[in-house]
Amino acid sequence: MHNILELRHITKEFPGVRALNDVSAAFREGEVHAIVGENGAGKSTLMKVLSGAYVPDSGEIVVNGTSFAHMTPQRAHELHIEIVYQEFNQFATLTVAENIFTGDLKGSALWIDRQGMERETEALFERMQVRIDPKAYVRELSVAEQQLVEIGRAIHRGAKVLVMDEPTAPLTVREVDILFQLVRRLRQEGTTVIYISHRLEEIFALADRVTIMRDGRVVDVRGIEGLTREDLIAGMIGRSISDMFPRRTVTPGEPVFEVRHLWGNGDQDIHFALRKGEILGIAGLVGAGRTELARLLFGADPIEKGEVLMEGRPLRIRTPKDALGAGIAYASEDRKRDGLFLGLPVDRNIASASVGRFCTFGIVNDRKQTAVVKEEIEKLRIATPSLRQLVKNLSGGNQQKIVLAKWLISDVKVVIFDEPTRGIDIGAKQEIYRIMNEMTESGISIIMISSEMEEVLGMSDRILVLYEGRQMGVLEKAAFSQEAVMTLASGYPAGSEQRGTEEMRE
Amino acid sequence: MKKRVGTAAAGIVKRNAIMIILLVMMAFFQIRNPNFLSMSNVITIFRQGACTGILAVGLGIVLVVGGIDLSIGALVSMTSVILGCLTVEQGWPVWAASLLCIVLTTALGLLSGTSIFLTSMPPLIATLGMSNIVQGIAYLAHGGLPVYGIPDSIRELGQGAIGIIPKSVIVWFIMLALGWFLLEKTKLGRNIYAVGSNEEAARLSGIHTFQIKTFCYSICGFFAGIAGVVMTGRLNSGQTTAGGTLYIDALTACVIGGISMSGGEGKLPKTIIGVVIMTALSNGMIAIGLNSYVQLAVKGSLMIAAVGFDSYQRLKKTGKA
Repeated sequence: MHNILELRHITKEFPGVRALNDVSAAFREGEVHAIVGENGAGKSTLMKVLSGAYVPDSGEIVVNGTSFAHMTPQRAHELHIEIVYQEFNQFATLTVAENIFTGDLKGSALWIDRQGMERETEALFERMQVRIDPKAYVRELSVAEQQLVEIGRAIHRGAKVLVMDEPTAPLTVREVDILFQLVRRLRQEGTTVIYISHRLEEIFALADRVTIMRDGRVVDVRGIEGLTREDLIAGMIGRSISDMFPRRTVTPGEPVFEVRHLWGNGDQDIHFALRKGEILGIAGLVGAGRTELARLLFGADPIEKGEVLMEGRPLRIRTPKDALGAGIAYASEDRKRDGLFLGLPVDRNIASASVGRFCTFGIVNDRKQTAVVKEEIEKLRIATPSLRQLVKNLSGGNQQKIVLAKWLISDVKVVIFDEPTRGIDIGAKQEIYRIMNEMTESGISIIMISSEMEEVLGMSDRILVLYEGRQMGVLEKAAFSQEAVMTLASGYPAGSEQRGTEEMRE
Repeated sequence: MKKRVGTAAAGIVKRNAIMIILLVMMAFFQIRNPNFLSMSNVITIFRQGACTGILAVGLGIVLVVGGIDLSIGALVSMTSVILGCLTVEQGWPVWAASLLCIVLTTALGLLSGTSIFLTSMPPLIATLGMSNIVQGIAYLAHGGLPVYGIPDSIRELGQGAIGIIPKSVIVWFIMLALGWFLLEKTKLGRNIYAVGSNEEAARLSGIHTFQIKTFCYSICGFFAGIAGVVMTGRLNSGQTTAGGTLYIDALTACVIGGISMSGGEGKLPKTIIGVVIMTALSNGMIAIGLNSYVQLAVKGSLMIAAVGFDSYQRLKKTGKA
């Protein structure tokens, strides 16, 4: 088998980060080649280099023996390199067929051959063995169907190399199955599939070879035979899990925050009690209703029925202001959208949720604010040249610390973290974990939503697992295991691990 | 090496673009009209700029919160006519008539802000519509005719001076100081910047975005009312077109002064430079005999250039990230 695509010594730097450091990788014709690595390992950057979205600082890309200094989206298309992104590039208000044919609509300048496109789309879907109506509007499709349309478009364009970025992240177990079958069929037809994922089960189920990345470098390239889970993890993290997470030093105390039979936002009958100083992990697949739960508790979306109690007293939460008043804070998964004021300086960001603290008669006492903010910056070791630095100029890890600082000074009792370490590098991650630990030591309770299995298992005292808006169970520390969480997250009741795991693999 | 010198020079030009424009313009007008930089003409420029400056304070606050208000020119016109009618024809005392006008413009601002927030329609359209309504009221109030015989106290405010400093300029600077204090020193101001920078994050930080936004539109109406009273004094009459296209001047002045159209950024005191540029431009163009139609076209072009430059800078910044 010859190499259809090769990356040679690719380096790409961003201000302050070497996202790719002398990366070389070769992809053979008709193989499923997995690229694995933690968040921030450089997988996505590598993909963007392949798609032509980024121009590498040095290195070359060799396609079928022809060398290029960099790709452009146009060139990638001509060379039949197609990419299915995590965020789909689709036109929600157009039909499935029109989306498939984006860029080369059938027909003449004045007249579009709608029926022809629909016929061809149908034929394409038949080949893929999926059932989607070509006339449907993309906005009406489920996430899984949208993804299949995206893959269909790539096949329609004659993909020889298909790059998929975390394709199963939004899918349910059954949908993952359909996707896997499709990927295997593509491989049979001689398509090279580059499969980016951090879900290890999938890699064992699909891949022929694996490239492991860490901190912008390629650590190892291995055939799947003889490879173990432990090898992969060791390669990805570069150390064993036990070093990654600080030891939990807090013994959770009395229940402080209780949620009783809560409904709303698609979530049904959520019921738990959070203890003082506890970290309650919330696990589940994308779309299981985790963020929805957080938004309910924080008053960002309306509660339909059920009770929320703080220290035994029932709360009326209708707006985020109510929630904050009761001592509940929310650090969203998209900190740039929901948590930070990127165009404002560090001090204003940290003080934004507690300006009132520094005010007399509505007038801000800058000195008081500066003192508190400075203390927090030192405590959390936020690396910033000054208090006046604009937050958009800081790294992801420091930005996340600013969100933490914002809540720390605002006198909260419960903090809901949604994907607290998304998109930040490993060193900063460990610091975030350390800060979370310190928060619980000072009596704050934490609800932590996370998609990273290691993180949920490593940081939580208990884990609540959601599946399609329903609470599948709460795992105690003694019952923690990746299998137990995955079983519940896939919609199987506790105790059916065996069946769940089998389903995952096939 | 040559390239490096080039980019360094480009950097200097970019950072000081405003001052360079101002200097080139001054030089040009000074050559064409030797009186341009005389003491008396400079004072005239400030006097002419006072109303624009007061409007820019209110508009600046709305821009910082992430909105825009195009109705401020019409609000000035309406204030002028109604103030004229009330004082000349109804015999109201000046203070009461002024107060009523300012309350009215503030209320109209509140109405704009509320409708924008409740429907989430584009503020550009909402305030453009409001501008037409208000201009209509300005015409209706006195049958489209000007009101003459304005009380002396109002005329004094627009035309008089303490020493060599025009009273209207004093009003401008007091308003500017008020606006500056509000934005920089109060909790309200902090929240205005927060909402303008990221409305969702502000909401999730427990800030009442509705209150903040409607407050900004209201205070913008308030400043437009003040500007209307000063303008009436300067024109020594109630004019249906007193405000006219002042919103162009005020908007351009804000943007030249570094207040971003996309919210959350900018400092009010810098609008002084923008106001001076805009007014000096009018003043200079009149002195060299360009008619008002040409002036309008020139100002429109400058507005597009300023806003375009602001947006382009932003595009480049986000493109890099």
